[in-house]
Amino acid sequence: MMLHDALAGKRLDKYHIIDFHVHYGKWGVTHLPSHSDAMIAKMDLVGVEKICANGITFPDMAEGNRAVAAFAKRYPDRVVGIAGVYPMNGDMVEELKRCVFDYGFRGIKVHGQMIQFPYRDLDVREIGGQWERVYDFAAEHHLPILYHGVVTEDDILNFPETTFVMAHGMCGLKGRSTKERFARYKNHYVDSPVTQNTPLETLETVKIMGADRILWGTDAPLDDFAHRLGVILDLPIGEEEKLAIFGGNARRLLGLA
Amino acid sequence: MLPFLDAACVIGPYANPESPPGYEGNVAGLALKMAELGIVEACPSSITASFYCVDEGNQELLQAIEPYPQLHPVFLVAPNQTGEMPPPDQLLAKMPTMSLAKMLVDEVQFYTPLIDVELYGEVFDALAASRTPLLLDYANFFHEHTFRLRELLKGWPQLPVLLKFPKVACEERVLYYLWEKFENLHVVMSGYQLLGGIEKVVERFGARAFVFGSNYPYFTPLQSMLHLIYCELSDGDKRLIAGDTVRGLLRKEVAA
Repeated sequence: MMLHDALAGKRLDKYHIIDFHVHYGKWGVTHLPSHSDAMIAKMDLVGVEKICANGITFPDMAEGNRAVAAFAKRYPDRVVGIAGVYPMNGDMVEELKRCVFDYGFRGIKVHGQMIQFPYRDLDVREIGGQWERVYDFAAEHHLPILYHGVVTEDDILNFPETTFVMAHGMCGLKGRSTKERFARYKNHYVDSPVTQNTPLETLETVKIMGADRILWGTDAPLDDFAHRLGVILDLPIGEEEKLAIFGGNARRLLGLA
Repeated sequence: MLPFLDAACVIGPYANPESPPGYEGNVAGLALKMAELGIVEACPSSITASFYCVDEGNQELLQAIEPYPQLHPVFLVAPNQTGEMPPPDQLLAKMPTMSLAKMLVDEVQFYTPLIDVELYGEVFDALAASRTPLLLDYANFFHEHTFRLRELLKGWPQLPVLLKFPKVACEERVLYYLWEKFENLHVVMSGYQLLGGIEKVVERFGARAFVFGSNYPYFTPLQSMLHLIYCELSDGDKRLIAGDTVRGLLRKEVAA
């Protein structure tokens, strides 16, 4: 049993864990292993098989994507590149083409507030009118979009061929009725890194959304790999459901063997 | 298995039937979850004391945990100028020897909006004289809190302070400053979740920098347990953080 192995401090390689939500870059915590190969050593301690790394904390998304690409090239079996795009960094689809065709990235991350002061109150959806092209590109190339802000419920409804994953959505969809409404969209998923994740809300999400619509993630470096395991491992659900959340669902969405 | 002692959990007089087993929010649920995960001891505080009546809540807590020798009470403390609770020395006399004191620091509501060393001076004097550790439970943790916390740690160096907050990220820079200056500061693990952060801190300031506390039932204790289990620390350091530091504080042991 995975829980017993974890409590015994054993490496969990045999459970094929994939962290869907990792930030590669400094992000103000320069003393932590978030922008170096030390992150691989941290994965090894626990037995995390792969991380999906994005570079959206870089002020220049293209630079962040290049850094992630270099990281993924050094560790092709451990790092899955996720493309960061932002309308203030140029044509987003052109950047996506570079990320997918040149770097081999398998997903997209969008965030509504990555460029802060003096543009904190800016609505990035209103810049450049590029978002629909991004969603179409994602659908065409089977790239799941991990979103924090930007994406609206109308987008999820109007782009049914595009896969959307709500970052922090496991406890971010507040209230049972909201969860039930979003559960109806078959192209919608949630991931698990949430600061205020009560066991009650976490279990409610699994019951309403289904374990096959939830992806485990940590938001590293803001959270430790081992710390975030507990959120799922302590749920009163079956081992198969836990394994789906810990990696099976991500493997399917990312098209990994 | 590490000898876990949960220094930061709360219980109420109720039971939420929709919560997963062990998270009902009462003492039976806490005992069940502790047994399931292998937590040896815990220090719960009372939700009634935090949000209804300090004195009634503290007494209710004592009654609730009486059948559970593995539980040690955490008494809410507050200024007594209104007369709604006993003066600090009388309050301490009501507390079992192995107890923690707690202040819920919340700028929006209830008893302690900010740590004010003049207003709460008598409380700190009494706690320090009896070496009763103080758990400071912050609803938020802003930069302004650092200044006030510094005054407390500096003014009462013999008072062990357990600092709990929802979560820190880049704000942890102020913690490095406080750890460096004050030996009596112990940060509760539940809010400190940074990748590889614990190892960095312990390397510089020693294992006394952290104590295990889960923020149960809002968080599963398993989060911080696994964080510590998988840390790159010596077994001795892990044991201190898991519970031995707080056990020493509860027994009023004084470092040589």
